[in-house]
Amino acid sequence: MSPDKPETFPGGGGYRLLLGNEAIAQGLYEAGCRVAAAYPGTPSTEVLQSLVSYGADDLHLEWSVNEKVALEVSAAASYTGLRSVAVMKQVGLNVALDPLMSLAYTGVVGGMIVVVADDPGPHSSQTEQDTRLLAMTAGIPLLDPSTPEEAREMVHVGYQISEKYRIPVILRPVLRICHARAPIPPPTPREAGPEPKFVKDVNRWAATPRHRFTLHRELNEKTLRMLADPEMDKLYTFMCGEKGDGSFAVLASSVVAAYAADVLGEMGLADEIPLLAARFQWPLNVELIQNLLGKGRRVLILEETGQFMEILLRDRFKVSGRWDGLVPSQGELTPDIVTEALERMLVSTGAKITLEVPPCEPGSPVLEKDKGQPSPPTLCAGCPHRSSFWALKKVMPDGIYTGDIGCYTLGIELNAVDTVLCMGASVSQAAGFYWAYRQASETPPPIAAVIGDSTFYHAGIPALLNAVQQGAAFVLMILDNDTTAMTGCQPTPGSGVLADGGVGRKIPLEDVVKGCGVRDLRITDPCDSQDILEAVEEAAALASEGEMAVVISRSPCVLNMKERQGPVPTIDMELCNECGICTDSFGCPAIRSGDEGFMIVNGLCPGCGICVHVCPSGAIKAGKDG
Amino acid sequence: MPASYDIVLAGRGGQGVIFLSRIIGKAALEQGLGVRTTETHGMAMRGGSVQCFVRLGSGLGPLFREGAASLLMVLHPAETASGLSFLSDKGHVIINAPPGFDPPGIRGIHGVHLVDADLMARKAGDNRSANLALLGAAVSLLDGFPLEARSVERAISDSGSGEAARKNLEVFRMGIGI
Ligand code: SF4
Ligand code: SF4
Repeated sequence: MSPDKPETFPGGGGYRLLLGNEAIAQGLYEAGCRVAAAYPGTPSTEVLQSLVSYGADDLHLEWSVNEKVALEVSAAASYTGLRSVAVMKQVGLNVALDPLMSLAYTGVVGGMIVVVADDPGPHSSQTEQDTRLLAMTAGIPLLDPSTPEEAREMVHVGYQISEKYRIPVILRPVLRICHARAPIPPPTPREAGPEPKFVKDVNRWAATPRHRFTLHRELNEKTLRMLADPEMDKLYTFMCGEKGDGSFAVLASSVVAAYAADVLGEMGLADEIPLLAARFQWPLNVELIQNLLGKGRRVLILEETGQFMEILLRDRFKVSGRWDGLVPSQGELTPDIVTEALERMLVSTGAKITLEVPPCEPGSPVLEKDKGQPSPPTLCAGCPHRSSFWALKKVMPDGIYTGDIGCYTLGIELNAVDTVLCMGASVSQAAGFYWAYRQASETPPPIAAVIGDSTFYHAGIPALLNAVQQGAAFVLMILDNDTTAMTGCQPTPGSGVLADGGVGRKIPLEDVVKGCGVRDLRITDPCDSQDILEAVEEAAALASEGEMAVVISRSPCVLNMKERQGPVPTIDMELCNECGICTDSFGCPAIRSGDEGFMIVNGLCPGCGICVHVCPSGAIKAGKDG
Repeated sequence: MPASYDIVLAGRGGQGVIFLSRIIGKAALEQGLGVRTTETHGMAMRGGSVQCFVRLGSGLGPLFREGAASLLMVLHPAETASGLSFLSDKGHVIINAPPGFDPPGIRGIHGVHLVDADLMARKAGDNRSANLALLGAAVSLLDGFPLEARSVERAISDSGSGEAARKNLEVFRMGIGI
């Protein structure tokens, strides 16, 4: 596979400008994928979303309740001989790691791809973890595309490897592949696949430890066979400088290989410095790489996010990268960082190369490092979560607030979130805080866990069941906006909608909460400030008496509202004493303060009306209809 | 190798920064130019800073180096600084701001153009189409800007339903007319 430089297109020629994720979806459609399961998570979400748009009727698509379930659904489909896919972000793979490790042993029948999107930066994740290390741990082959075009082609390559070796294949696009747009040729006709047929084989599909030993040996043999397969060698190609005899060579993968090709070209070094892109990362063909780059030559390793090739090659080569500090150990590798690493490598190898083109100079030296503070994200104007947090803080001002993953993580800005660990941890950590104080025979402080509906279905249910069963007591507020808002509003089990928009069974939150053994449950509308205050007060009182109290705070996400919530309130500057509560601790972005005092910006305010109750001076007056 | 024409777009969530990058990309495709784009944002839908990077011509990676961009388009004046470091010393800046506005930290940059895009968008009755006034200005003001008005118009007509596309076109043409 060679990176085709999309220099010209005859009048577009049916090419579409697609996100890497959309290019992957196109590949899945073309390759005849028949079962696709995913849990939304940035930067992976658009893969399934885009796959829906092809409207294939021989394709089951689902937003699964979590990544583990998605992987298992997709694995069973592959057992029947169909091509399948599971899609998730990198931290989602942690949730799905249990089935993945085991699946490496059992293997698959139909091609199975696990798309795992890594997030160097991190831009939208708890960690910068590198999926290649997990692939190696599990023994699962991993493909690492460096452009959106390659990501699409690798879906086809991945299915071929998966079927040839009967093993799932991880396709790992990094964020700058997922969320980069590039011209993609029109879709090729969808491949027809076999009919599903599950062939029983208990020693494989239900292997006991004795058979697991055999399967482990089989896995190890597959790894060796893949390394000896000349087909795989095609995944290691020079992006430039193949004949170059520069003082060092570059070994790169993922989007960083593309940056390196660009930067070497811009520096005028494309003919001198060989750049080898390694698209097959596990198992990494170290012998081949060594032969291609020439023994004895120094090698700069450019890879995201962790040390991987560097570890695998380190003792055999004169390798530079993270271990000797040429490449930073955290954060995204941008073209600037790549440039700096290349320049330092040139210096340290004493290269006798004069740069044709000097490094770029930023336009304004004064401003060089002052890029300004990026404006932080806030909950949308009119977001019902804001009112839920406001009620919590009012009723339980000295509480410990355990938070979770979703838009409402932004409750941090309102001082209403003290901890965020991972999906579902708000509930179990609230229980942990409770027991920490209880075991010391202290009265636990007021504790409130806040979790969104989608996250609750994903990982909150076992945590709640556990807390109730153990006898922990705190306030659990479930923010039910009937959607997975943060990733662009995918349906939840409570919304009764399927991935393709079809009707699914609705599983109301309250039924699930009761099923977890909760006796005290109230449902409130956060847009009714009196109602939510009362609900939280009652729940807090019960919790202090030792009962688990759940409040479902139910109101749709403003992104899904078809109409305005109500009229825009006005601020009476006679009454306003400029305390700043509405802008700071309540933090509605539609309220601005300026030279002329406080005002509500018409175009920004959808009219939820909550601020009317928040202002302690009564200066915010309800708007009039019409 | 042919040099690429690099553009940075800076704004806030909800201003259509990403939409603008797609229009530019589509217009480039239309003309047979190579194109890559990417965006950086926290949670763009929720009002945070958004930056888009567009490479026209050559280039395999969607990001480019600081000092490489020929053009910076700023949709929200407060985001000017966030994009300036990417601008080359010969680059141009087009800012959505009323005439006479003095954007912070812009002195010393040689080609600064203020375009009251919000006003044009309001005139057309669609606040969110201000982004296209900036693109119109780029087409008419800048020598060497690789996109032609015709291909941008095709891209706009292709990206949206009748009414929205019509307003977008109107604002784009107001931008050209300045
Ligand atoms: S997207 Fe919905 S849930 Fe998220 S902040 Fe906005 S209104 Fe709230
Ligand atoms: S009514 Fe008040 S709180 Fe609600 S969106 Fe408008 S300004 Fe914000």
